[in-house]
Amino acid sequence: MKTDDELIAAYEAGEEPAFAELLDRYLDAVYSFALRLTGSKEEAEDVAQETFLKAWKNLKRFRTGANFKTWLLAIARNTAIDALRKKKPMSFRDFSRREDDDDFEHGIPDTAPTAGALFDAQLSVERIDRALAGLAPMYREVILLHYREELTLDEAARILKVPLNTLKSRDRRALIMLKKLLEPREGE
Amino acid sequence: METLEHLIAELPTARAPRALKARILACVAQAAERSLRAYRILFGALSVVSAALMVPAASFAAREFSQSAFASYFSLLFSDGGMALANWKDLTLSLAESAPIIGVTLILAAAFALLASVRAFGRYAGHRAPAHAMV
Repeated sequence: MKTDDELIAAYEAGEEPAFAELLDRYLDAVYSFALRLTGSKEEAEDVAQETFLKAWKNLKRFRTGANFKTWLLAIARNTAIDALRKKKPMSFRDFSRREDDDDFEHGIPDTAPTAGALFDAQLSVERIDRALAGLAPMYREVILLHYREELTLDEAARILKVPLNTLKSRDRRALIMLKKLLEPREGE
Repeated sequence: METLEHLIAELPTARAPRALKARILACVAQAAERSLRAYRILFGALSVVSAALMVPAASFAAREFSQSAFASYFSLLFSDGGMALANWKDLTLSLAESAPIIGVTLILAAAFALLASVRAFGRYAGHRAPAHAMV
């Protein structure tokens, strides 16, 4: 099986099916990421389409040896954010809140249910997805990039263009919020 | 015992609709066709402009050449070789001073632009947009 770099080189050398193969390899991942970020199937389709079009236009700028999926997710994230901004005017805070209260944040005791309790509560995929959708986009994207797409915090920080420490604090905050959203409510 | 982090990592990947791949490939093919067309127009126009510029550049160079003493100095090389050899330093300096440098530079620049744009036009004219739409 050809590597991503080999497929890109083949496409640039005129082998047209190489791009279709890259699309086959990453379309579901990009669509799925966009779907969880935007919460709408139509929006996710548009974001995936736009992402691959931008990737095709900038293929020459892709650094050989870099992670192609990370590069695609970065494009998808920016495209999704643009789409969300167009759809619904968001406050500046939604994406660019300053996080210089790390120490305070780390001092907060995590009173949310433990992982075991969550597991015992039979968390369904739908419930986690619903809880994720309830998070503000700036927290949702951290969870998706770091835990779902398994990017390192450093890679995620580069995609989101925030300092690593800011991302670490955002990550911790996002997990706390997510656990709170997953807490069984009365009557559940 | 699974942690929340593991549960998130194991969230299923949503499958993209089947038509989406074809739509993306068609979109890329359209964009490729548009960019090919733009390059053809650009380099076609540059070829025409640089070919047209060759005419004034050549007439300027011819005028500059006829007004300079370059031809006289140059003819000395053939008419009086011994004198030219004896005074080669002065003759070289005079040739350099009287050379129609601007005219020659203009002709060379126009010729280079013409060759480069014709070559680029030929390259893009021979290209076909990817047949992604057919996939």
